[in-house]
Amino acid sequence: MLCKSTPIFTLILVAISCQEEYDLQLGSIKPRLVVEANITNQKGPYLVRLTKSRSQLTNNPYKIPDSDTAWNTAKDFAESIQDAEIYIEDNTNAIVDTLVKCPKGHWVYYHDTISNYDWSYFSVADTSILLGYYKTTKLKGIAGHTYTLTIKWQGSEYHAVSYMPPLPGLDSVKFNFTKGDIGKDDYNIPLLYFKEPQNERNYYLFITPGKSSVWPYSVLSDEFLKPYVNGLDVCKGISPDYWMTDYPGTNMSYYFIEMHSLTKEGYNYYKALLQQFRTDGGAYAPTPATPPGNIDNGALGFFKTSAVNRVEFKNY
Amino acid sequence: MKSFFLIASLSLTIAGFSTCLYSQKYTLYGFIKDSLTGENLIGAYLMIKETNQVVSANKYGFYSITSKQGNCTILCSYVGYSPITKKIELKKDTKSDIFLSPLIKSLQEVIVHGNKSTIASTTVSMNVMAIDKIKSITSILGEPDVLKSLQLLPGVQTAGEGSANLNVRGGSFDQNLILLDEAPVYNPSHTLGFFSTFNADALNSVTFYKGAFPSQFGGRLSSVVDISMKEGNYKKIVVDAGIGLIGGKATIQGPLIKDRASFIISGRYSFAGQTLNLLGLMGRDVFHIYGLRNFDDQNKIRFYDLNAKINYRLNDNNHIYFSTYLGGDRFYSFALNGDNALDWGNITSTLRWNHIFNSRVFSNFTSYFSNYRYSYYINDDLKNFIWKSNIREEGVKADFNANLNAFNIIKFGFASIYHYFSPGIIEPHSSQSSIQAFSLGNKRAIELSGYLSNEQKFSNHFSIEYGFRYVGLANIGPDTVFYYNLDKSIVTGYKSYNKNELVKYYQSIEPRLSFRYLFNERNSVKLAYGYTTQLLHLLSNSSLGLPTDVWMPPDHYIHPQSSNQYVLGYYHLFAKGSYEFTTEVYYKTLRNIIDFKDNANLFMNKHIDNQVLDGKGYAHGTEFMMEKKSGDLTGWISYTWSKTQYKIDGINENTYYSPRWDIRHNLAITGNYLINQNWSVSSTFKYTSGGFVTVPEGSYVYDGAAFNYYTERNGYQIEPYHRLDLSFKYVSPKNMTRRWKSEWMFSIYNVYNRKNIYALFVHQEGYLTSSRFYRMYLMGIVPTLSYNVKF
Repeated sequence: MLCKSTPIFTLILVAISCQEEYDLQLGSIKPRLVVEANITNQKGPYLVRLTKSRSQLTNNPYKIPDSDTAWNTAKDFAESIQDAEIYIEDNTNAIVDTLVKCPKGHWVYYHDTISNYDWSYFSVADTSILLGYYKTTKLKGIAGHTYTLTIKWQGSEYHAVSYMPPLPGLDSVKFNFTKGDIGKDDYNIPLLYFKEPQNERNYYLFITPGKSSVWPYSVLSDEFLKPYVNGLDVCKGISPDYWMTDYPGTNMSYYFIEMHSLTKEGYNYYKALLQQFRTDGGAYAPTPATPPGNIDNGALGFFKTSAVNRVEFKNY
Repeated sequence: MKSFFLIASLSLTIAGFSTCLYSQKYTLYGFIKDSLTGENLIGAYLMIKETNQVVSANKYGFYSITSKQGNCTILCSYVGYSPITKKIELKKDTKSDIFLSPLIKSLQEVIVHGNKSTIASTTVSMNVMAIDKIKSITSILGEPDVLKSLQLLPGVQTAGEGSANLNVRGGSFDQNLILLDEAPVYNPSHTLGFFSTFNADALNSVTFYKGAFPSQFGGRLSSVVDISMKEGNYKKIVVDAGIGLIGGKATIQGPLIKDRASFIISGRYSFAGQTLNLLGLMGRDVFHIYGLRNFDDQNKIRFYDLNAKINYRLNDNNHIYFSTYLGGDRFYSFALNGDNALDWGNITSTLRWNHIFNSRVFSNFTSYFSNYRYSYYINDDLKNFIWKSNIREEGVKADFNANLNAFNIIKFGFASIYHYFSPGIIEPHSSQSSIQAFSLGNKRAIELSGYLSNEQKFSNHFSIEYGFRYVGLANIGPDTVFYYNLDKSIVTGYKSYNKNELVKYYQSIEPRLSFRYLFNERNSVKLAYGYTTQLLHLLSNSSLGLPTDVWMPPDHYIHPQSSNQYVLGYYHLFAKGSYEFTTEVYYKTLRNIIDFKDNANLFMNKHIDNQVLDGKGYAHGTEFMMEKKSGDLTGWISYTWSKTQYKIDGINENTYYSPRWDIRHNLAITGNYLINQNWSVSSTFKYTSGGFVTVPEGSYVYDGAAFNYYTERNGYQIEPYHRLDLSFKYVSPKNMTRRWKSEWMFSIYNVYNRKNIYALFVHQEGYLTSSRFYRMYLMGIVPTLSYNVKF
């Protein structure tokens, strides 16, 4: 039992406030459909992932049986759904795309020269159907269009409709050199410069590569932005605990920033997800609630349609 | 229902009027005061033995009793004072001021008649606590606290440890009207609720009403906490000072003109942050305590209070009082709220004029001002801004209390109040901030109210108090009202109003009724009903209440709340008045109560009124209290069994659910024992059932991280809360012989260091797909030492 303690109002040393782990058993429930669907205006195919919810909070490895003899553990422990039918329609030009299951993976063979033995194993792709991924075949994501998602699974139907908002162009990205704290590396804060349309409410999602333990997203509403955004630190919208942001160091071989446009529903959904990272004390935090998705019939997750600006940096 | 009450009260009043003209009755009136200091004894009890007529002194120590009896034997008493018996010939209206002397503790136990005032009064659910009683209860860090003492009474819950907020009979904490010398105080908490803003050294007493309150009170649904400041010693200058680990205080009071005018100034300053920083650094660097290795010594926790009052008695019939309170807080705690700092403060000031028209009619005219402001700073590099908000109230009130005759006491009054709300202004804190200045619309309203009630005595046993209250509130411009579609997700239009243009008018008539049957002077039964409305709402998205909660007037979507409350009570005195047993049963219906919808967005939201949903609720409970009022051991045991449920469409799948303060069992035991001349010990034990919190039903994976989803709101009951406090007081024996009187107090909060859950939450832990439940507990064992002097 790890106790992170902080003294408050002590006479000697004894009064501490403490946070400790609490063993709470949740009852078992009927799992729900979880949808991760992402259509962008970049080149396809686009991916939709279907998994099931679970009644535990802690990681409980879920093994995915593959087609042959080897077993693999799903990296994020989500139980995949491999028997659903998914359709996405572009409402603006009435193209309907029936999604296909992604390939499971491939066999890897190699010869071990030391022991003179042929080894083989089945390598599950990152976007394998065994993990719940499906992909589009002909759909094109175009800014300004509206899309409808339909899923049929185990006798139930789920629908979602989402509009893809257009995105202003990025004028430039500059890096603001910042000296690191004692014992830490110096780093560069990426700053964005762009013209922000003032006559409408816009929402943005930013993705930057981060540490493996940090969710690399942050969202921003344009409520308080000025007409010309003069150097916005991408992590200063609503983001996970900001001190965990992995800003690029001064000697970087590769870095990227993605700026996505979001609808109001998308903003509210990601905001609620990010809120779950920031909870560190129930008393002073709002009552927790399910992040508001846009899919009906009790499905969790979100159908996201965004226009994307992506800027890459190599060897800078 | 309401018009029946109106007609009933008017006709009984007329009946009362007509009987008064034809009888030989005279009135005995005057003030009841402390003989040593001249302070008013609020709620002191006076009885005419021959006729069993009883009256209590009002907030200004004034009493007035009309009787046919010619030769009266008057009995006057007050808890903590020696009672007086006097013979008076009542051949004409007679003024007789009565001075009571404080009980010297070495005397034997004396019959305390003063306790009978609860039995005899027609008001239900009322507790009067003199400041000495509050000071004898142990409290956190040795600082006696009015609101914390009220939390030990039956029917009073608190949603979280350390909080000064009160949840009375299932009501939320914005449903309490807290008055300091007639001015309302909007945020009675310092330092996120660990202390209240009331400095016990400046106070005289507190009168607490829990339900079905008499007609002169309104504006809040659940309770009225009527706090009266001391006037200031009329006879000599007295200085009290104290120093403890987290702060110091000093009070100076004395006469300006002996026996006619006096003043009191009282101040408190707390440097809790500095103490915390010092102790944390010692723990981290000197003792190398593992848990403190990341301690940040930049905590700023400080607050101050200043109470000042002067009063002047112009003549026998006129007395003027001016009192003011200033307080402020600064809170930045690395552990609790990270990169944000909070700053808030209250100012109240009151000017009052008591006027005695004649022996039977007492009046009080008040003009007051109350302002509560708060600011919230975000200390981010690029999102640096200040959010400021404030609420202000300015009003004039007139209250009259008239003895029509020996059987009817009429109370009536009027008030006119101007309300100003500034829910939020955002300003960038530095030029690099990417935030634009922005302001939520300010709101203004004018409130007019009036009340009329009669306390009618039908016989020596049976009395009824009946009356009503009228309240009208006009929202006035400049303002902009937004219109929404059916599920309040889209703005469909708006309408702008000019300055002083009427936006909307709300009104209500609130009947109040109370029956009291006195079996004898030792027991009685009471039945009461009251209908109350509350026009203002506090929008708080946390169960404990933060200084950043927003006060709002009603509008098109947030309607005034209302409640019907029914109370039945039985009251009994034992053993010559030294034990009092009270039990009450209550049932309350609630309408237009609000709660936030799921994922509500409150921060700087122009459309804050579409983030709340309204609905109905009910609360019921049974309360017991047994109090020992005199002797070497004093104290009480209180127990409440209660239940509160809300039903709001759009929350918890439209079914009944518990608000956070639905606490089923609540037990409090408190006692103070005088060991000898120099030592006394006091102790408090509290046990309550756990409150209800929201826990996830399960989790799901999205974009590589795990997130929780919820179905029930407040569906999980956490474990019970209990703790024991102990404190020892040492009064120096040299105090008997010298002017400088000193005392030491050593107290321990949470003696057996129970880890009571303060918050239960789910937190991502290290890897993105793993989260765990955490519980946070706030106060472990907290010992304190403090030193007080008086001279």
